[in-house]
Formats: sequence, C-alpha cells, structure tokens
Amino acid sequence: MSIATAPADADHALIDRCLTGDNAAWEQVVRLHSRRVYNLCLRFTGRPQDAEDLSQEVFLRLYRNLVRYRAESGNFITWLTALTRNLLIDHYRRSRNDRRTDALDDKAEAAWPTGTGPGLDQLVWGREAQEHIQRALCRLSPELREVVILRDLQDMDYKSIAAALALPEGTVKSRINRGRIEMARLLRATLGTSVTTVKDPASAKGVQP
Amino acid sequence: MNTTLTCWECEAQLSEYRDGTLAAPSAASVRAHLQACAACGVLAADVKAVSAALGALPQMEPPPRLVAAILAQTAAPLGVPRIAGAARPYPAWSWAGMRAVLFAPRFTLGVAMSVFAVALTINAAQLDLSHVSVADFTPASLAGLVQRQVSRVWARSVSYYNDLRVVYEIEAALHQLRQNAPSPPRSEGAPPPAPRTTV
Repeated sequence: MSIATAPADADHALIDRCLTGDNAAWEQVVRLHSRRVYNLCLRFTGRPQDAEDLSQEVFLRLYRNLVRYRAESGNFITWLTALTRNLLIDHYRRSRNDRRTDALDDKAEAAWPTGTGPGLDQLVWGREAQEHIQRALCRLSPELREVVILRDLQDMDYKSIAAALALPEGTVKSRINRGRIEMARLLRATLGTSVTTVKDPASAKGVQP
Repeated sequence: MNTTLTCWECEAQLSEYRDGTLAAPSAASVRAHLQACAACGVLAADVKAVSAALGALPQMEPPPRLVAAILAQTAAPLGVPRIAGAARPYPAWSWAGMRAVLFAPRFTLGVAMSVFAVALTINAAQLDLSHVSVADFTPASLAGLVQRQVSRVWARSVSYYNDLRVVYEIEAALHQLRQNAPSPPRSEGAPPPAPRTTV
C-alpha cells in the first residue's frame, strides 16, 4: 500500500464534508483507511484482538480531532500515521510485556553465524516463516519496530516517516538500518540451524516486493 | 580493489544501499566493499532478504465488525453531527432545530424538575389555586396579599411569645408555692418510720 494512493486534495475534500456533518463522507474515510490502520496495529502488536481495539480507538480519536487536522492541513496519511503511532506507543507502555531484543538468550546468540552459512536470502518465505518474521518483529524495540513497519510494510519513504514520527531523517535512516540488521540477527538465531524446515514453496508466490 | 570503507561504515549504509537512496559515489564505495568483504556481503544479503520478506507479509483484512463498530460509535443520531465544531445541518431557529431541542432528554428533564419544584412550593405555602383569578395578580392585590401574610406571621409570633411568657410565669409561681408550703402529709402507702425509743 503506497502513501501516494490517497491524494491529499481528495482527503481534504472528504474531511471538509465530514465537518459539515456528512455521515456518508465519514463512513468513506473509515472504509478507506481502516485496513491500513488495522495492519499497522496488527504488525506492531502481533495480536489481532489488540489490533482491532486499537484501530477502533484510532478512529474515535480521529473523529474527535478532525477539526484540528483541518486547521493544521498537512498530509492526511502522515497525520493519521502519527495518530496511530502515538496510540501504539501508549499501548506498548501500558502493556510492557513485549520482549526486547536484548532478552535474547546466550544460546540463541551463539547460533548467530557471522558471515558464514546459508544466507537469509535463500529462504523461501512461506506461512510458517511469516510467523517467525512477525515474532521477530515483535521482539524489536518499539523505536526500531515502528520505522521498519512503516518503511517495509507500509511502503512509506524516509521523509514521510520522519514527518509522521517527528524525527530527523538521519535518525529514521539509522533506525531502519539497525532494525533490519536486528531482524536478520533474530531470524538467524531462530532459523539458522533449521532453515529447510521453513521452506514452503507452495505459498512462496509474491515473495519479492 | 577499492575498499575505502570500513566494515562499520559499510554496515551503516546497507539499508540506504538496498533502498537505492545513496548517491552514486557512496553506492559505488559500498558495492566495492561488499565485493571484497565476505562478512559484509552476507549481512547485505540478509538486510535485503529481511526487507523483502517484510514487504511480502500479506496485508490482512480487518474483521468486518471493525468498520461497523467504529461507525456505531461515531454515527450521529437524529442527524445531529457529533464531530466537534461541525456545523449543524439545519438553521438554529428552524422547526427541525426547535424539535431537536424540545425532544432532547436534558431539556425535558429540566422542564419536569421545574414543574415539580413549583408544585412543591405551592403545596408548602398552602395556596388554593382554585380560587385564584386574574384580578389577584394586580400590584395592589399582591401587595395586600403580602401585607396580610406578614401580619399573620407577626401575630402568630407575638401570640407564641405571649403564651410562652404565661407558661413561664405560672411555673415560677408554682415553684415559689412549693418552697413556701409546709412539708406535705405522709401518704398512707409509705413505710412507717423506725420506732423511736424513749427512756
């Protein structure tokens, strides 16, 4: 899903209609963006129920703050992403049961082969591998997780991510790089010794972006 | 062989190299380092694989009840928008606007409480509304009514005070009589005093 799929003018026009009390326009906003918000929440939390609850909360907050958005008049997707991200971080702080990458035990750490063995690019990413990826994602620190999701899953460019997270672009670049390397480290620790078990050619279509 | 980058410098640029956002000279340096350094080559392949795998994660469809739940919590009843600051769909003094106000629970409850309060006051003041006519509401009538009520209350207060004074005086007189009177005769039921022995 690309950030360019929803033109800014169309979003502004829709929001204007919402602000005149047009319920159909509001329903359109919900239908247009609920999938994106839900996936962002789902990948960040790794739990469908949490993703559903958080998505609801995002739209309730959006509903109450439409006037403020119209006053600021920025890019709607960026604004919605920032709103979602803030709720996700709040949720993370409340729950605090995510395991940090630091918690990787010594045994798993030892399984990380530096520069040797089969590369992760040789893996065929099937359903089981997707579950491993989601688990690894949830073990990243929230700072790294959010930028990796926005870059690789939501296909946002560095500049948009920096705007949504209110961070310098250099910080975003650095975090994306650290996040990907950390993901590779986690996946190698998990899959390194049993690469063949996750091969699932039947569901390997559409692997390359 | 061009290996002007250290492994650390190369690693820091792997994602930008993968995303194609590096300037040409920087990209060339990274490429040269990757060709020369096996460890960095594997890491670069991993970064590329991770990025591709993340991008290949399917977009999940939210459950249909999600949109329904959101709309249920935000849909405005009676056509009144609940978006903060949103314009009303009708002029404030139109029939629709008046009806929306009149049928609002807050307004109805307010009216009911006012009627109850007035009824309670009339009952407490013991006013007989069946004998009230329009003529009773002239200034002179109202003034007369107030004056009569004040006089009645004043008369009651004075009478109460006088009654109290009479009671007090009677009690004081009785008290004095008791003190001056000789000791009362012994009643028959009382036990006889102990016999006095005289020699």
